[in-house]
Amino acid sequence: MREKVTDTPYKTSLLGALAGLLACLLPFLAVKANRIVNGHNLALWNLRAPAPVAILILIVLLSIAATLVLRSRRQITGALLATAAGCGLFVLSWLLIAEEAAQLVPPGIDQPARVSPAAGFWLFMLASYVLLTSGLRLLRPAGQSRTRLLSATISTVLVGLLAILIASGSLNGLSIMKEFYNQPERFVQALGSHLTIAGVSVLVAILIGVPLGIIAWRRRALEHSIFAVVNGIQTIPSLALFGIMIAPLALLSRTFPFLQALGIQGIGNAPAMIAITLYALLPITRNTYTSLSVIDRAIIDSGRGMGMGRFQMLRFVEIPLSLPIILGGIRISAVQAVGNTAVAALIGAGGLGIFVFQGLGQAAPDLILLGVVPIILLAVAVDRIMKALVELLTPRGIRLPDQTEGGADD
Amino acid sequence: MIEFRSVSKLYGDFKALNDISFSIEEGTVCVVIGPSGCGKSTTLRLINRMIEPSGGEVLLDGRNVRNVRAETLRRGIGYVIQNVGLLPHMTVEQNITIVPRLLGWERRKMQDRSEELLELVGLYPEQYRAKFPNQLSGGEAQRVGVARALAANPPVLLMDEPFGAVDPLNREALQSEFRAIQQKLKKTVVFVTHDLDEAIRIADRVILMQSGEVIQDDTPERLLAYPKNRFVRNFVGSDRALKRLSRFTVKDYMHEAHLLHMRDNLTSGEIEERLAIRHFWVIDEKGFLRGWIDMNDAEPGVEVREYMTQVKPVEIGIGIQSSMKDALSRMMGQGIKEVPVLDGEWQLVGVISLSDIERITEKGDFSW
Repeated sequence: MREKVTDTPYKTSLLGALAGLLACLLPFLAVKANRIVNGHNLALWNLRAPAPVAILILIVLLSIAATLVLRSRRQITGALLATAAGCGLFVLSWLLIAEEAAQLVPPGIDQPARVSPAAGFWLFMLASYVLLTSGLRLLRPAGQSRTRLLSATISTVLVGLLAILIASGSLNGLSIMKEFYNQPERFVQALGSHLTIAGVSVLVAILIGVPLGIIAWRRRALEHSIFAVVNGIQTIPSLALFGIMIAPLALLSRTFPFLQALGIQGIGNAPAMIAITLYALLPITRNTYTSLSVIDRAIIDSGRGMGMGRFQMLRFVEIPLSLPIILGGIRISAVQAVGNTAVAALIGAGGLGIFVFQGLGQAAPDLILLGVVPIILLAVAVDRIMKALVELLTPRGIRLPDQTEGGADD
Repeated sequence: MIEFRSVSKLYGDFKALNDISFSIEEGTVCVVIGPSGCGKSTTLRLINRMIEPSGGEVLLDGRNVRNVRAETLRRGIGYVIQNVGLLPHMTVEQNITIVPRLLGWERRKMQDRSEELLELVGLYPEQYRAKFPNQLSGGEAQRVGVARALAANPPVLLMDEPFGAVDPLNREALQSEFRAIQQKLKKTVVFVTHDLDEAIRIADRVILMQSGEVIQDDTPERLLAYPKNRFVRNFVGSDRALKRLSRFTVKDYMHEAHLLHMRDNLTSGEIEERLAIRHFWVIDEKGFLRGWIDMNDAEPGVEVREYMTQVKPVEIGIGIQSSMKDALSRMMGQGIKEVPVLDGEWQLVGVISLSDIERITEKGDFSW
């Protein structure tokens, strides 16, 4: 087990280091007079603050050092170096871009001039994430709960730092902040509707998917058809599914006016939620089915033999054993739903997708970012919260001694 | 008292059980044995209504089990299966107290009971109470399974190949522990197995089944001595005399060993006196077996350890709970006429010789 792990971390950290090196060569940011015109790119050596730039490059060298130390199998030292390099890259990149933005853009939120993060900046972010992941994962065997605490602390501090930068107005010169200040009410509204659409869809998918999974398990005759349908839905492209529903829903709402009063029409929230719910079904249904099918028959048999009734079987056996797996399915569905909701903007459902499609229409990449960045952050947040929930609700006896990370972290 | 009255069980056209009748007295161990598919598990599962009969009736203490609610019935009957079926998310203690919890016992009483039962099945409560099933070995898990079945002190115990998945060494230990427990508790036990040695060792009575019918229903001795027909004869095998030895425990037949200490220093007179016995086992100060000597090789005025033949206790000795069959096979394997018997701490406590085995075979009330 241990042997298998030892090989990869230095490769992961090497990837981070290479990304960092490459990022040094790419343009770090772009300065633009307004949303539409092409700005001019500035590489690291074009920046005005030489000291932070030097430190940034030193940190990249640190990540290479971390890789070499990991290679020589001094795991803990290497892991600490990689973690430090990851943190350093993150903090310094943001400070640097804030500093440059303050220098290059005249103050005032109504100024159209702006600074956009360019390829180099984004690559630094990626390098930072990869280094942090490889470092923290290696620190895990030292004590699971302690490293979990460490990684939670580090991400909280980094996010907190970013929040302070935003709140203090230091990042107001950044393009994404410009776009935000152009229409703050609309952003808040879009964020709200994004959360509502995704949340309600997942909730409905749970209410349908869990019973569906149970039925598939209980009635073997139906298993095949249930999964044929649920799997089939997954193969339809989301855009097509949104489109397919316009006609029948429009017809329904015209025929039954009370449906219209409920907000069900060809376009808007209703078809979006229906489509996203349908997508969310597969992971939930499949995991519910799997969670029941992996329960050892001997456990069911001995449970019955000890005199457990239907209800007690559910309470003492089936729910505790299957809940973690079902929650794992809900985790996948929820992350998917956050992403799918972005597309829902196309049929007038609102959500953060509106900025993406507006930005695409106006050839304004900064506006696209205003949609995309929060969607990514939302998806990561949902993933983390669900993961913590799964861990919390996994009974100690069936938890693996060294539980590996879920797929979403890799 | 369990009674089967012309019970049949059909699966479609297949007759799993064909009109079987027998009864099992209170406090006895009845082993149901037969080749796979003979209906032995079906028979067992009819008693706690895991399966309902197609015809006939099963009576428990004179009452048809169908007149009792299945859950209530099962809570009053201990149930042990081959794969144990411990709940992986519950501790050993929580597993043991499932039935008491279903019956609504008080927490304090459940804790006391689980402690008592862990001790009974030979697991230290402080060490095992809080463990999870995935931290137990196969033998330990099955001990917990037995403790769990005994939790609510049911008068009847159903055991479906309980030791089938345990390695042979552990199985023998479990069998002798089971016998010891049974002597204390006097439960009515229905025990299904396909292992004849196991049946012979633990049974008060054996029901041999074939194709859904009872072929012979007898004591183990009589099953071995008077097989009813060719099938039974084949089933018990030509070595049935040997198998009968499984019923006897070394502990009941061993006698005192002729002993010398490693540091003993014999005079020629003392050697002369002992020549008639000839072979002596040698132990050290702590009572551990170290070797043996042939008095013909003894040298006066020299410490015994100088001329003894060293032995490894594990290879030559047998446990005090072993069967006489084990003792005999150890004699054959080692080419000796006397095997040393060791207790749980590996101390020499006695010996079994070939004449002890002859004593058993002579006592048999039947021809060999």
